[in-house]
Amino acid sequence: MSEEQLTSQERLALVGLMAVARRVTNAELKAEAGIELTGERRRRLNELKLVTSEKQGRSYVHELTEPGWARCVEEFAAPRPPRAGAYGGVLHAVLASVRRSMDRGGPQPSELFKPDAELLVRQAYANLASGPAAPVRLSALRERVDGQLSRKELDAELVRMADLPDVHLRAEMNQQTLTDADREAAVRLGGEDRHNVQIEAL
Amino acid sequence: MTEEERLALSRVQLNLAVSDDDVWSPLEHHVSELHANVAREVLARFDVAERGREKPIGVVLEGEKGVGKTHMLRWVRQEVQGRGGFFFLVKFLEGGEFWHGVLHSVVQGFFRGQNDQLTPILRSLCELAGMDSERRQRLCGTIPVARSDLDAFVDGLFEANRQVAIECEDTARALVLYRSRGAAGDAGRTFFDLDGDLEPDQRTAWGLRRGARLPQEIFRDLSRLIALAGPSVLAVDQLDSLMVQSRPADDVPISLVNQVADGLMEMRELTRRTLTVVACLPATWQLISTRAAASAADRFSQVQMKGSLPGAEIAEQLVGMHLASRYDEIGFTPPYPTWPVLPSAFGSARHHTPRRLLAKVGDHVRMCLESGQVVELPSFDEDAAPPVPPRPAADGELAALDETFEELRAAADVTAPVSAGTEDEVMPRILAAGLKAYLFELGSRAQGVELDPPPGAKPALHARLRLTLDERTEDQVHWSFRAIAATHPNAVLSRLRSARTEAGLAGVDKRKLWLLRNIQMSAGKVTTRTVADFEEAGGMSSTISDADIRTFSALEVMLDKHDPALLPWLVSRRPAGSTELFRKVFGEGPDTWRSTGPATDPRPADPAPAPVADAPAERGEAPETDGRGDPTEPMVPTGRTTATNTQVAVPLRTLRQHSVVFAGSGSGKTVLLRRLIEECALHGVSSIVLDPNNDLARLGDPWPTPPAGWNPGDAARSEEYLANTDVVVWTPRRQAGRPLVLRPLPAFADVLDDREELEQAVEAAVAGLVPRVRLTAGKLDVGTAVLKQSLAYYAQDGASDLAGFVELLLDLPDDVSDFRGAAKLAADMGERLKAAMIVDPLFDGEGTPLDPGALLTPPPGKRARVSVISFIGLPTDAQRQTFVNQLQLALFSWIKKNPAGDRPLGGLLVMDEAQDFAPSGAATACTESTLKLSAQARKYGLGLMFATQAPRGLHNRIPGNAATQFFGRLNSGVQINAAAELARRKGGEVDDIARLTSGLFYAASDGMRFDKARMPMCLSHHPSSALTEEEVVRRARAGRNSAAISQEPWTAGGSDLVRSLCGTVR
Repeated sequence: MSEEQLTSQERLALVGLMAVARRVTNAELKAEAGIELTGERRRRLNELKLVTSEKQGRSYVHELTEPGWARCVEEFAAPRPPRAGAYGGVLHAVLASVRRSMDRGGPQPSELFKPDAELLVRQAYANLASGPAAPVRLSALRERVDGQLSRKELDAELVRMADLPDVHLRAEMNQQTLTDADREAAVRLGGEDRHNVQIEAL
Repeated sequence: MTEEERLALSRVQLNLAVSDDDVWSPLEHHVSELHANVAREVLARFDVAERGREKPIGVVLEGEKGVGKTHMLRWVRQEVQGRGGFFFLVKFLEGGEFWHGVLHSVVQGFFRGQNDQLTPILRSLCELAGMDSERRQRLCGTIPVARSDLDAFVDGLFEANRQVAIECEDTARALVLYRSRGAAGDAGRTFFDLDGDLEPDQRTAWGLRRGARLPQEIFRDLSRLIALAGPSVLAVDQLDSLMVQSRPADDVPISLVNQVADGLMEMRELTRRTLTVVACLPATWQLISTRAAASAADRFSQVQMKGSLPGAEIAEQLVGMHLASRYDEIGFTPPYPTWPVLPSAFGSARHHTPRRLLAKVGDHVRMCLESGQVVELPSFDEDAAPPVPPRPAADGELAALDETFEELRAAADVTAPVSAGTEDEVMPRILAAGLKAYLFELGSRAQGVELDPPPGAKPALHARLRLTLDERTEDQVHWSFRAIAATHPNAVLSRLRSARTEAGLAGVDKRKLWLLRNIQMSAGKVTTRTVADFEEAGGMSSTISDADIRTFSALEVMLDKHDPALLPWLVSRRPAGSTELFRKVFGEGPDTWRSTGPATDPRPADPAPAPVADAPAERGEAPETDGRGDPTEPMVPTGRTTATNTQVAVPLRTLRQHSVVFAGSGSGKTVLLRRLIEECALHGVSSIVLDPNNDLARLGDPWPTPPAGWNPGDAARSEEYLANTDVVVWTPRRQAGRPLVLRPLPAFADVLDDREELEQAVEAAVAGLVPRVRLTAGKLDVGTAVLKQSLAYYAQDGASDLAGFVELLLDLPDDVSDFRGAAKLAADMGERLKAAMIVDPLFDGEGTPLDPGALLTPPPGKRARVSVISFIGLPTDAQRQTFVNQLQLALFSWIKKNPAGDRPLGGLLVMDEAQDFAPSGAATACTESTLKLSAQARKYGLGLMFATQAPRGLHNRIPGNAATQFFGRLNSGVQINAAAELARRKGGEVDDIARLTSGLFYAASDGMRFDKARMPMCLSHHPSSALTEEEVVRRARAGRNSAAISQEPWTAGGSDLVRSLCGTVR
């Protein structure tokens, strides 16, 4: 599977996707990692099943696949391309160092490269809320975040964000409107199950 | 517990029985960091109201129950009053009483608790009207007011503000009267309680010109008059109970939503120099802003109130201030401010609402008092402090209190509470004492019950008890009490109406109002009608006996004294609960109250955890259920546990209920699959193995040297496996290997001599061909008939070659069918079949017909066959999916005819990269057939084994249908999260899935708990690199001649197979 050599640009795209660790559009990838995944480069990585690119509206949303992550880890040890410059050199040194630590029982890439949890929560909320501060069910928010964070991570992030001035985790006062999924998705805070989230600034 | 400590705690405890978040009681503790945004916003808007040039935008305080909305209103009241403003709490009533309710609330706000807002208003107006000091003494001082004073007052107002004086003259007179005593006071009261409907002689006496008016007109007058004196805040905080309490937001009648929205708008329109502040739940405002016709929401700005305490310091400050105000009253110095709550407890106070936090403090204090021991609360976490049992009181102590009680009862004044002149002062006190004592008698059963704080002068009610049914919705039951000793019919009516309005009595079961009166009602028409109305609305009347009055009065004194044995004495003697009145009002006590409302908590008990989680930790070695206790039960080993290094295994039979492997690159997934296949083969179970990655075709290769990772005895097992297993590699669409093809026509020659079987075979074949010829709906019947006639004609010679049949269709002899246009139809169908043969080489190409029986039947002398189906000839996903669909349909038909019966497992279908065949997203050609197999194959003993490196990408019904699950190393965070979630549903934790090394798996199966186990190396050769296509082809060819492929004759028995082979999945 890994017999196919990757170009340095392809390799950088993989590492970039791993670093942001979430589904991203080209614009987001460009903004956060300074690289885009377009044209031949995208098609090749799709064919190798290292990246999935799903068309959403006019742009692609890219995500590193399971073999993509595994491949990325292999690429950590790849030799530095000639003319990589100082940025490239340092990047390769960092990746090689991560790899060394990994091979000796240090954190694995999935533990090291985590998505920006607050961003995911705010994006999901913005997608679901009818307006600023409109109540959104945590069950719907979880579905929207869709596994990009683990249950524990998302819970921890929600609890952390509950301390922000514009974020409110609240119990649904009308228990009759709650489904089993809503109850299951609740976060328990202060001795009370909170089923809804409200964010004032969208 | 020292006496001093006990006294201090009693203070806290006794006060907690009284509703603490009353807007009117003095603000004793306020943490300014809490809700600073509310303070800012409200004061800014209030400034606008104060300047009076424009109507300020209203403010909505949105927050959950218990975040301190009422507390903030109290703060607003104090702040506004401090700035020379006025504060009114507005009650909204549903239906026709709406505006009367608003008016009533403003009038009730003149005297509330310690507050007197009316005198300052009148004082300002007097000054404005240029009243001299003697007049002032009459109008707003202590000298009784006369008609002439009122006339002078109105004249003076006329000079100061002509318009207001003209329009509001009557109301201005009533305002002065309301503050007075005696007949003047009664006139003022009646004016506001009966919307201006004074008796003619009262009007003449005080110079009022108009009769009954609309309550909103009087309300507007009031606002104009008050505006002359200063700015106001109108606070509305009972919308929740009116609207969303105990019903889903969708069920709130739109008429009510509109009434509230209109009411808010109109209120703003009618008032001057007034800021409206609404405090409500987010859901309530959501309802008003989204459903109401009027855009009331535009005239309000929302302020969100933080639902939780921002941090430990503020929680500590809050509790400390709260307790200090109690301790200060008796000069008690606690060891530390929050005693008996340890400062370290506040680390766990985050995210509590202030109310919940204080309630926990209250519960803890009660427990200390009941047990007679000071236990310091270490944490606010649930179940942090173990309860201490209550201390029983000594008999001597109780007897002493009995004596005191009787003495006090004997000395009690039984007339003051039921005399017209004194009832407003005395009755609230003794009723409150009785109710407070009653709550202590109930102890913890009184949870959620609160007593209203003492009402002010001219109270509408004398006491009210509230039981909160649901804290979130503020769904409450109220018991209100009002004694009316007045004799004049109009005075009675005025008081009764005022009590009704305040109690919110409107035929609602949850609002109860008891009228206490020891004398007959007037027999007059109006009174009779009003009383009938009152009773119809659910109001109740009772006398109050001297005995009860004595009891309540005695309790008032005793509660004030805090005797250490008072609580146990109350619990043991139940003096309040035994009064005639309370027995009548409260019946059997709290257990019967809640039934008055709807079910308070429809939340079902927590769903039972997945059976696996709870099942006794059954090991593979000693299963106990389902007849698996048999030691001869064939088992499939699933490795050795890392914890205890014991062998774990699943019964072979369990694999009937399918298994799934979630594991990525570097997990050892391939080795796991191979070893499982090999172990099954050792038990004589044959497998069909899909090999999309070219790494399973070595299942027949021996290891050149014994590998690392074998357990003792594996060398022998390997030999046994290789000797007794026939491994065949199939290469659909790859002629060089061992191709598999679909045979649409059965061997008719074999059934020529049995007419019936021949007919069945023809029908089955037609059924399979019909989807391929794609007849339009209009031609389906005739087309199918022509196809059947043609095939019957073709089959009569024993021919079963599809190409020959196509030729026949293209040029159909005249005598085959008598349908009109049959030749044309047949030719069209022939064209389509021809095309199918070209497009899909699986369809009647060269090779072994795809026959599950052949794939799963070992040749003589072998125990099992492992049929590896290589996809080297099927490069695209679509081709693979189509092929798998047909294989699955064939397999399903075959297994139905050849069920496993008593054998634990009839066969195994292994699907690696299962996410490509049954993905969670859009369905593929084989999604449906995969799901069907996974749901039904178990009945016939066919086990499915899925493997995927993308648990998130797999259709959710597959893991849902798999009894045995393996979790191995995954690299992608998203896939790890999905796997962890799947494991959680099975009752397991697989947190370190990212750190599993190759060969380590979590395994779980029915009746077997999650175990981390190391899977041994597979029994056949497994080098690190996958096979090349050439190597696969070589393996496929190798056995081509030697392996005896059992060629099942095409018989009628195969008709289902034929149908399914040619069928497509919709």
